[in-house]
Amino acid sequence: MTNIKLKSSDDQVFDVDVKVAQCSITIKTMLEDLGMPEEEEDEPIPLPNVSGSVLKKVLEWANYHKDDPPINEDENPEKRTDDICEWDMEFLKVDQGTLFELILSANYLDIKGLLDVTCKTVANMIKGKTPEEIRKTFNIKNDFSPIEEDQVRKENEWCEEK
Amino acid sequence: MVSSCDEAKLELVPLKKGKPGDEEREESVQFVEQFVKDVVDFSSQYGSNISISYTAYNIAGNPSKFPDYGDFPQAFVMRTYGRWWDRAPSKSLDYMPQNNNPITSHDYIDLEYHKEVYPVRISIYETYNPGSVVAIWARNETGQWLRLWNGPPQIVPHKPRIFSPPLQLCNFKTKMLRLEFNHSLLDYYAELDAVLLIGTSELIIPNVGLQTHSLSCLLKELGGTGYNNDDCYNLTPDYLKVNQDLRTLKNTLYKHCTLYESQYIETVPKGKLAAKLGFHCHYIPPIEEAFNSLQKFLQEDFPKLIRDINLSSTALTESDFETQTVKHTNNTNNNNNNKKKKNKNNSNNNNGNFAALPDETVLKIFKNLDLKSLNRCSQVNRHFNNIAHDALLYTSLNLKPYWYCVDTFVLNNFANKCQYLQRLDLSWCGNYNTIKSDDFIGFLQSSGSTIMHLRLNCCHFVNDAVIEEISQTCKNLKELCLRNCTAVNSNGFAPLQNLEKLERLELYRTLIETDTLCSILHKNSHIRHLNLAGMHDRLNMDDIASEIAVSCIKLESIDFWKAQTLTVHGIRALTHCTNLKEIDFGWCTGIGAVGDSLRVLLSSCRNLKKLFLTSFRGLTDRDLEPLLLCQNLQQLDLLGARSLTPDICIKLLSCLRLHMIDLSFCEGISDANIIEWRKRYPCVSIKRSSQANG
Repeated sequence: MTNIKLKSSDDQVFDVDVKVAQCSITIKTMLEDLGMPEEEEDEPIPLPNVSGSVLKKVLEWANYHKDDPPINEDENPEKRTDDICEWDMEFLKVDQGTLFELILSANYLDIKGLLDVTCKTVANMIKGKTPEEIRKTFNIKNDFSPIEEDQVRKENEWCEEK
Repeated sequence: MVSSCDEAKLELVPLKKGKPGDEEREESVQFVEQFVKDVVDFSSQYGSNISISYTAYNIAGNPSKFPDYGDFPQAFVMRTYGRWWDRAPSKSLDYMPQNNNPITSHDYIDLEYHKEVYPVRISIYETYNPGSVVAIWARNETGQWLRLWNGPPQIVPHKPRIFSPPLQLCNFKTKMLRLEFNHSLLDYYAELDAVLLIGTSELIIPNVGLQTHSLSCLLKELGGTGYNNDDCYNLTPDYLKVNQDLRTLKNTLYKHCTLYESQYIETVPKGKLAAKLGFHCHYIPPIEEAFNSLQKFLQEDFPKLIRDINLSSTALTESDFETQTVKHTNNTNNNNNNKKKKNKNNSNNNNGNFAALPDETVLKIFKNLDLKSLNRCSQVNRHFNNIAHDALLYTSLNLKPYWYCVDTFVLNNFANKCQYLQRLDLSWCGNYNTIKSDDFIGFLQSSGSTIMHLRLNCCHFVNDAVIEEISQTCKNLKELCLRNCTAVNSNGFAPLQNLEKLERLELYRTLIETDTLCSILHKNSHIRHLNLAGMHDRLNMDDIASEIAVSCIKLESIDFWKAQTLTVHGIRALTHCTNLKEIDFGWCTGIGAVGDSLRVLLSSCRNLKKLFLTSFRGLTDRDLEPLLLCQNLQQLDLLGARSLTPDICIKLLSCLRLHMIDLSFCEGISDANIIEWRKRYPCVSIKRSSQANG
């Protein structure tokens, strides 16, 4: 089993099984372009966009999911948000800031499975909420002018229960 | 005081009503009991158009079988039950499944009554396999629908039932109801005998305080039957004592109810305001209620609102402050850059945590949302509004769950977002003139060119002109579902010959003619699923089968249900379609003696997963022998095969991994056989319908 080293934005170095690291297409491509590290003493791969605490979470996820079959969106176009596995649900019981950092890292590292499940989690936080509740949940400011807001409401209230 | 008018039973019930400052005077309310006058629309029926057995219209009028329990041709029966259809090769996946309600509806029926009333009770007479009603709607004269009740499908005892779920207050008079069904928990076909609508001429509300204490709750108390845990949605669990609570209510109406006379609405001039309020006009509560809720708001919600406002404004100032500090400590670049960054930070601050995400990622999150949530996101702020309008969110659009509110306005709204639309399900939508043919044609012209999958089941705005537009605009159409599109004339289908890429074509109960259909099939050699169930008798199924044999050899599923014109020639022709996985020849009673045609067909279709030979009376053991080699066979309907012997059944049950076999009315097979086989083959669902009474 080969290990490689990953370095976070705050200079923490992680020793990781290649198979786990390659859940990230970004790292996988880097390794293919740069060639596999031959010696243990090789320079760690810098990941300037990921902090150590988040990278630790990402690697924990990747380690659990390293043997997952690849996801093929064409085969399964169904967009369900109630199919998040129990381990992921538990794993994603984090504060909102961390959740969004995980999304950013999954995006940057190109880890499709993690990106999917984190996006679904945020979607589930949106579902069933009124616009005002959504604003409150995510600390979003309403920047519509009253006229705009009225217009937007008219356009979008058709499926509300009357 | 009981009188009868147009089949509706009327009863004048006195109601004392005191008006402040007025002397007390007697008033009365008319109670109206009526059964269905007419069936206006439905999504499926077991029976055929030319027969009276098992058809939708059987739900009209008084109960004809209740309290008998069992399989009776005098009842209304739909085409599906259980999950078998979901597991058949012809199953079609829902587009945008995140959009489905927790309980999807599989079928509906629209019922018209004699007299408009405020509904008090709706009683559904279920005479076989009850439990599949999941929603009841009422429609007012302006075309608005209100859901009076919805609930999950139920598993209930195999007994006749008068199902009367508690209804939501309906503030308008109605004479049109819709029932929706979910068949997934049914053991076998559900049968409905009648639907009683009990209502009043005036709106009455319980006078227990001013809180909305529903009439249904009151009736439950008056009924004294208490909660029946097995069937908690049912207000009339004991049919012998049915409507006793209502009689009690009528006798003591003055004690329990007042007339709901909105003192507010009456005084609103029928001008601008009323027009603006439109449907909501019904929801203006009486003035007392308004005071009540205002008081409640001031006492409970208002302080909370103020707290929230304070909280959120402090939160925002704090986060503003934070970013500023971070920027100042980290950023030592020139002022210009600094300013730019500041602006960016400010605009991002509108978005909380979302500020950090690129738009593509927000889009990815939004892709998981149903339409209602997307609409709500549009209203959050400008940034969300922009992304929620992205055409990439609207490549698959399923509006069927919103059939009650999708109209021209909604359709036009979507037209702006649907540049990349590939799949559209508008089934059940736009009826009763809420979408006009021209509106839909306009929609197709703006957003139709990329559509590959189009489902318009039960859409009565689909007429000849719409078909013409589809065939011209949607050149890449792979799927076209037109079940129950009965507004298209027999010649109206001809333009579909322009299409060449069809893989699925569903024409259940439409008026298409033989020549037209043959030319369409001729052009579309990729067809895999063809639904020609419940067609009229001018359609020559033998000619169609011959065309299929020449042009559509990739066919995987064929539904010929109730095709009276299919004969041994047609069956023989289909032998060329060796890819067939699903064959439905149910009630093709014109076939007569099958000779060896069926044997030859079944020998050539080794991939069969589902085979329905319902009511092939002359079927013999020998005809079915080739099935023993169809190792994938899961569903087999042999209802009415009189001369089958237990011998072939045991072979089928033991050699194959069947999931379901229907042996109803197979006279050669005794009930004892069935009981024994159910024990011996517990993995197979062995069906046998019953006509036992009570």
